[in-house]
Amino acid sequence: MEAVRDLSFQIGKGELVGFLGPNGAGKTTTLKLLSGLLYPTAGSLSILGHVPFKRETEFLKKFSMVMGQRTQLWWDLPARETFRLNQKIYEIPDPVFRKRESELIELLELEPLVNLPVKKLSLGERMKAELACALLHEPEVLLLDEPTLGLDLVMQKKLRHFIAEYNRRTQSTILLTSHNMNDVQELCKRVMIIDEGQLIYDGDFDRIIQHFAPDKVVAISSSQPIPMETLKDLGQILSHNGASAKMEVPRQSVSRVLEQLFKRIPLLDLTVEELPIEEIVRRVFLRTRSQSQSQKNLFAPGEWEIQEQEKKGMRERPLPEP
Amino acid sequence: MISLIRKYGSVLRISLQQSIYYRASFLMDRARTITIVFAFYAFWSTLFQGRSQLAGYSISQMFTYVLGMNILRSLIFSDKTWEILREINTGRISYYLIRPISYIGYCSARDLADKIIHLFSAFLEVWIAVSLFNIPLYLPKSPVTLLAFLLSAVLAMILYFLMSYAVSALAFWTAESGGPRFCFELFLEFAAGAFFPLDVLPASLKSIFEFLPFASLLYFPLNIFLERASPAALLSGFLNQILWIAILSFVTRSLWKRGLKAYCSEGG
Amino acid sequence: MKKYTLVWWKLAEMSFLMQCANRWSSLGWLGGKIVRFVFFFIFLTAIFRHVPNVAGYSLTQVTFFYLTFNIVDILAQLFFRGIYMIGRDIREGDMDFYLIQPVHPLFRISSNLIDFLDFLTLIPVLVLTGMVLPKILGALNFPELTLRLILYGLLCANGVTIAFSIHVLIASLTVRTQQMESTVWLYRDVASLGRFPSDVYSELFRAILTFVFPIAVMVSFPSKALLGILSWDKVALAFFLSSILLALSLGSWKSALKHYCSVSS
Repeated sequence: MEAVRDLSFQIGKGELVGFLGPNGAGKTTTLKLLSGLLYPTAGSLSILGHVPFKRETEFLKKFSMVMGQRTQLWWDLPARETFRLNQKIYEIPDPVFRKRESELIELLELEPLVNLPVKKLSLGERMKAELACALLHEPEVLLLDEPTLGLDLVMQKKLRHFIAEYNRRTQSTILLTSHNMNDVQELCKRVMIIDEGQLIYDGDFDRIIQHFAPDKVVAISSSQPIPMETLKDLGQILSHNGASAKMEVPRQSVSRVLEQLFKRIPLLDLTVEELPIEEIVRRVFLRTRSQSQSQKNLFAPGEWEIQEQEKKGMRERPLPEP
Repeated sequence: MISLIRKYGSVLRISLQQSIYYRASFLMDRARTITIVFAFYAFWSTLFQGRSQLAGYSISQMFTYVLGMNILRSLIFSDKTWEILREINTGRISYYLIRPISYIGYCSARDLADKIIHLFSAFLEVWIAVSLFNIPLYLPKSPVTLLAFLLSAVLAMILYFLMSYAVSALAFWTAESGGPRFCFELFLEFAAGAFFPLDVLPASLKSIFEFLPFASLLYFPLNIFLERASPAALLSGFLNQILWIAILSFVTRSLWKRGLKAYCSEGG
Repeated sequence: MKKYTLVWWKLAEMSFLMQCANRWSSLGWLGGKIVRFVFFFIFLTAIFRHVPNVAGYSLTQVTFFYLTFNIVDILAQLFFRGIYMIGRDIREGDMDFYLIQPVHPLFRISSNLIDFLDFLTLIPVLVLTGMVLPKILGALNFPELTLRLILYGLLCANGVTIAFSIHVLIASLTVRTQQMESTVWLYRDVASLGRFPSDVYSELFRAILTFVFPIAVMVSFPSKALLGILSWDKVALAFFLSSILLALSLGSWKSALKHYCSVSS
């Protein structure tokens, strides 16, 4: 079975790149290829001048991988023991090891936790210990597979903050996969969107919005009920709830629509926002699917109602540059 | 009564299907027993070269003992008590406790399924071995012997059931019952005569095992079958079995009662 | 090499800490092993109350065969027990971590479950061996004695190598098929046939135990060499067999890794 194909990209030193895609898109497969866990049937790849599958010690020492919800920490023992084990495995000299260990423990707020058996830690605490463990040898390349999977929001934020900080401080190259948009949005300047094993976008995160989302969301609330009819001709209504409503408006006609709204409705509040990035990416996936599967209708009605003419419009939009 | 039979009957059926589904582990169990039996068969056949009698056994008696070991091991020792340890330690037992089925009854039905399938396999193996290697067998001369043998085998089965469940009850108090259980099983196999007839051992050791419930598990039934037990030995053997069954049913029952209480008060 | 020693010790220490955390269970396993060792020992000594020799060997000699079996078996377990768990390692994804670390994955997997209890069981075995040795070698002159001892040591190491190869073959099979891990237990059972000198088995079966499942080469050849009854061509055969097995197993491991397809998260 082919999990990825026609996937080619280059990542420079010190970059923090996000891999985005729905489940089963081939994100993990790509990471496994990069880490040498999978043997590519065709094509070539090289990291730091090494071919991953050859598993040269020199390469392995410069690289690390963290897999969300998996652990290399010994379950019944304090995380500190596994740290020591990795010290021996990566041949880290004692003073260097002590310095890095205490740094990581401080940065990740692991102080009492590293001395408790790993099985007693919460998922988030374990993930932090896991990261510390993977970073002890200060890898030049770090692969993070769903690092925030299953964590609560506070913990997600802490981890993201740490990763960004780490990248800045050590100038290490970090590749991160996630289906959590916030991870990528906050951390990565560059993002690669992958679906069905193919790269469908590779570029700046900020440009995704321009690239895929020609529409903006206008939200209004009024002092009195808004009749549907008054909005109908202005844009596509996303939600309508008595005295408040949300609609999607083409970028270029935003000012015209606002003008009309002021005229027609006694407004209390008005905001203009970008489409949520999840929605944009969802649309990107929908489009590639509908293309690769020709005319098969794969549009599942989601929270965003998509009308017939909208679908047609989306198909006619140009493909993103490779 | 009928509904009871139907209920545990379906446990039995499901367990049978499961052993067939997990053939690999079943076959490994068999492989283990077969290698033990084979090793001793080879060992005894070498020792019997140029002699007709050893430790009071004729060659056919010794081979019958070895093959009988294979059958009685399957009938008496095979059960699923390791599952019980796991179920208690992982808390899966709660799943059974809340249902209108007795957990012990459920386990017994599961054990029975295990015994049936192992016994079937053991007979098949013995039949193949006998016809392949032409092994001389000792068959009892009187039908009374057979009857006594069957009775002692059934009693041995009950006795082992009680001992095994008493040791399993340990799991209610500690998650570390696997090691002690392993130790118990190995000791039992030796002391029961599941490796070699106890007559080989010094008389003092043998009489200790005969006094304790161990020898009556395997050595005693096989000795009845081989018609080596004197009427006095028969009587004391049966008395020993019954006595220990009485003692152990009390011990095991109270252990399980307390264990379940301890388990439930912990809140699973 | 230094790195591997350090990693091995650290892994051993960690396993030891884990066993301490589960001390009752560990004591039980230890007890079981001692029970097995002692009872077989009692059996072997007891049998000589009924017969003068077993397959032509005296009590001392049979005991020596039994002790040698235990030495090789315990060493193999001490160093390679981690391989027993390879099925679980693959299923739970631990294998991925081993593969991205800069140590040989086979070393990493084998050393994952170093059991200090094996050290403990090894001690009485070695003491007993030390007691039995003079009885066997007493009458020999010095050069002959040294030669036999060296040959014995080499053949024991050879036995451990064979055990290693078999473990690796099973590991490769497990990586390839994602099951079959229970074959390790089959190996343990067949290996247990080595408790008795291989001469108790029929000719055909001895051949199988030499060439197909080389248990005899593993545990019986060293003792025979020490007793001075192993011909030189057999010695050559032992080393030849183990080299072939080792090459075969390492080759199969390499190709298995190529086919390794780790479980997706």
